[in-house]
Amino acid sequence: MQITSAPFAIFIAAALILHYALPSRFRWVILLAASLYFYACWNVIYVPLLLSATALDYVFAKAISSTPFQSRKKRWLILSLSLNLFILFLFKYFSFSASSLNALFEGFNIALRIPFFHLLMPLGISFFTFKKMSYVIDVFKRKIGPEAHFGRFAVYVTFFPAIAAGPIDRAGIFLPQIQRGRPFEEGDFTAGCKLLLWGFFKKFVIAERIAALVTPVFSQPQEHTGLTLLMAVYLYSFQIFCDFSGYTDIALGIGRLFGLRLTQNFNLPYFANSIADFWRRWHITFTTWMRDYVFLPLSFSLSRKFKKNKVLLIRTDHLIYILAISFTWFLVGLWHGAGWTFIAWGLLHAAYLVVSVLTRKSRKRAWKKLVRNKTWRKKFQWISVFITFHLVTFAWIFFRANSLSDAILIIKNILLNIRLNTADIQLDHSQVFVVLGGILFLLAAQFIHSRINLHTILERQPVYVRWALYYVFIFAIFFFGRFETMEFIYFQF
Amino acid sequence: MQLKTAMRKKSVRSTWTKLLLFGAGFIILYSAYEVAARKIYLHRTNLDVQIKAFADERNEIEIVFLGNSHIHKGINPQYFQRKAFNLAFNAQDLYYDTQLLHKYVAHMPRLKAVVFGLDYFSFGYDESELYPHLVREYYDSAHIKPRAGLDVSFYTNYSLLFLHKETFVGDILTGKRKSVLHSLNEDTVSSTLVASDIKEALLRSGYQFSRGAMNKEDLHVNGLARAKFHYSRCFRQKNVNPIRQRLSQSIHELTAQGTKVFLIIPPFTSYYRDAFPAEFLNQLKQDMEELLQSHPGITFFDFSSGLPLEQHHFLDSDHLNYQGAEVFSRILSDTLENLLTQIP
Repeated sequence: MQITSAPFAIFIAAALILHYALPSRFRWVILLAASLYFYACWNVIYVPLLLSATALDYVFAKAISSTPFQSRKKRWLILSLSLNLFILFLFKYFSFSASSLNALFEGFNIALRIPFFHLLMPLGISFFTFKKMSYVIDVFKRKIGPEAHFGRFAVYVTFFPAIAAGPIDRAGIFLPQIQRGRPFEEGDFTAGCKLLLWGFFKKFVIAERIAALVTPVFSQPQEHTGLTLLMAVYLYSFQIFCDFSGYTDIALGIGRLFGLRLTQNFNLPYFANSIADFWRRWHITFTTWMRDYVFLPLSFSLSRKFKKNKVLLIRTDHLIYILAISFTWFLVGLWHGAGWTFIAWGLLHAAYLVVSVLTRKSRKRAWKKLVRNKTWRKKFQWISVFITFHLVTFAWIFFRANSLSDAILIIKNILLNIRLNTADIQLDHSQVFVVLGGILFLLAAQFIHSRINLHTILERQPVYVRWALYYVFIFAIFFFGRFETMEFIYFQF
Repeated sequence: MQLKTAMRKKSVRSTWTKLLLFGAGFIILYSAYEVAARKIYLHRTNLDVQIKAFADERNEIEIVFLGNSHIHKGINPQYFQRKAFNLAFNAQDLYYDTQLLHKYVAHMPRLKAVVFGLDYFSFGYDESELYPHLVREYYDSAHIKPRAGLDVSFYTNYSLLFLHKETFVGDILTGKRKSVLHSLNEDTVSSTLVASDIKEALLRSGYQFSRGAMNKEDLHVNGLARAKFHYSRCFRQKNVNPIRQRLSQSIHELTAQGTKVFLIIPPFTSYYRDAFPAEFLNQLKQDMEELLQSHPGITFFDFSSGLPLEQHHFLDSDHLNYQGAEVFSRILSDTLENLLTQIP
């Protein structure tokens, strides 16, 4: 069921009417039914898998909470995490692992081949698995109590706007909203509609139009010159942002229509002044998940192992950071896709973070020496934003390329073959105008929003001004939107 | 508690009221656009003029040409000894070729020959994938249903908001608007043109008059771009089998009723021809051989090279201009006439 299709609009309308028609203690029924129906429209065979995986973690969490023995709690936790990771590995990573091992064996002339098979990856497996894991871990750590009601827990795991591409909400934030239920609020409805509008605009006006220009270039990079590849890389930065954040806004918007506040996943990421800052603004729910459940526990564990001040001439705190960040970002890359390009992308970001931490003091000293005036130092902060954007854009090459060799070819051509061939790309002037106009509008809106809250400004306007703006957006989506493909980049994860 | 319930009901009522008012405003604006767009986009298209002219004269027609813009601009029926009609159209694919034939051929008592103009990408080309607005126009002009049947998009295309949004955006952004009197030099793929007086006269035989030529450098760039567009965007392997089956069936029906069938590849410049990958052309050659083997009565001519055509005969790398159309039409006329005179 496509999000822009008429059946989906009817589905949402029906779900909303039923949701608010029922007393709040029964609304979970509608949410669960809608979520399972949505999932079944994608593939009905995987609905039992989704429900059984949900049921298992519901039981494990209850078991963890009910036993007084720490050792038994730990065993339940390990069992839950192992099962979740096994299912994730089976559907998402088995083929990649098997083919990589086979290639390795071939390289060493070992006559061993692991048979592998391709299973259709369940929609949103990376997202709902992480949700379940975070829930069980939080119950183990006593951050939250186990959810007594299976139906509400199932809603948390399967909630249909967020199942395909997040956000990865924490149970502690989502479940209380289901438990207490919210009456219908006009403010929620309006906010939801505005989020939907903004999400559709980013996805279908900007992201889809950029995709039409960029996809042919990345699918055959050897046929394009450096300048074309460079333009495609820059455009891809905006495509992935608008695609992913557009979908998130749609998910948040649908959530708001139901009176549920999902967690913000983006906060002006391309205005970040460092890579660390970027990751505090991009896919926030995922990076905080990795921070809380991988990076911090790993760092803590390593700090207990390394007692000395220096290990192999490296400061212990730096070494811990390097190891923890590298492993975490290795997993970040792997989570995004079973492929070496994603791993390379993740490790590249790890390298950025490590270099950033190791050189922080010396950079600060050099910066102070270069620009002595404090006021001017603040103004030149835009240089940090500029550099960060380019570092991130460079890393996107690996994320988007079909293979490592393609990524290297793209970089090579950009550096060594920077010329324009007019036959290279079929440029339709109106297409370019819409894309550039959309990007500039997006950047302008985000820049203004970083200074003054645009929502507040909008709310203060008279109703005819607000409605005129909404009409402009709706017609802009109709006129400039491209609806042919309707797939979201992060659905593949 | 009662106050809370009352406030909730008020909130719901207020939301419904605002939704209805907002919706009403949207409908008004939408309707205003539809009215305004119908003044910009003219109701009578080239395709409409052509098909109506064909329908009017079908009793007299002896030779019909089918294909896309390569034929539409490349064959001028006035140079044929027999009554001929060019039923090719810009971006037309084999589905619409065969459907037009199927619709009218039974009512053509004097029909002697059908000439299918093919391209390197014809067997994999589905025009509804690239030009969905034409699907609507074929239905309006000739009641030919889209190959996938009448689905939601077919009906939404009644709205010019959906049908013409791509061209509307381009028209507004480039300041270009379609007008009633259109110059003879205007040459676009879009069918939303009404011909000028002179053009309409020519269009009544189905032929689209085209004037212009390119220099070598432009032809080289154009050839590369056009070929790439055709083999990478127009051709889809999944379309090949259904298209070949449809063509086979049409050929079978025509030969059964005694109509001679010709398959031709029209003239192209070497800039266009040589830009296709060799494996792509080899596959086409194989497909053609299989088709000819299964229909021994049909005749195939590859005019893509070898004709006495110079650079100035071509509008661009893969279309003839009016001068090239004259040369090619005369050659084709003589070729067909030699073969047709053998038919009783």
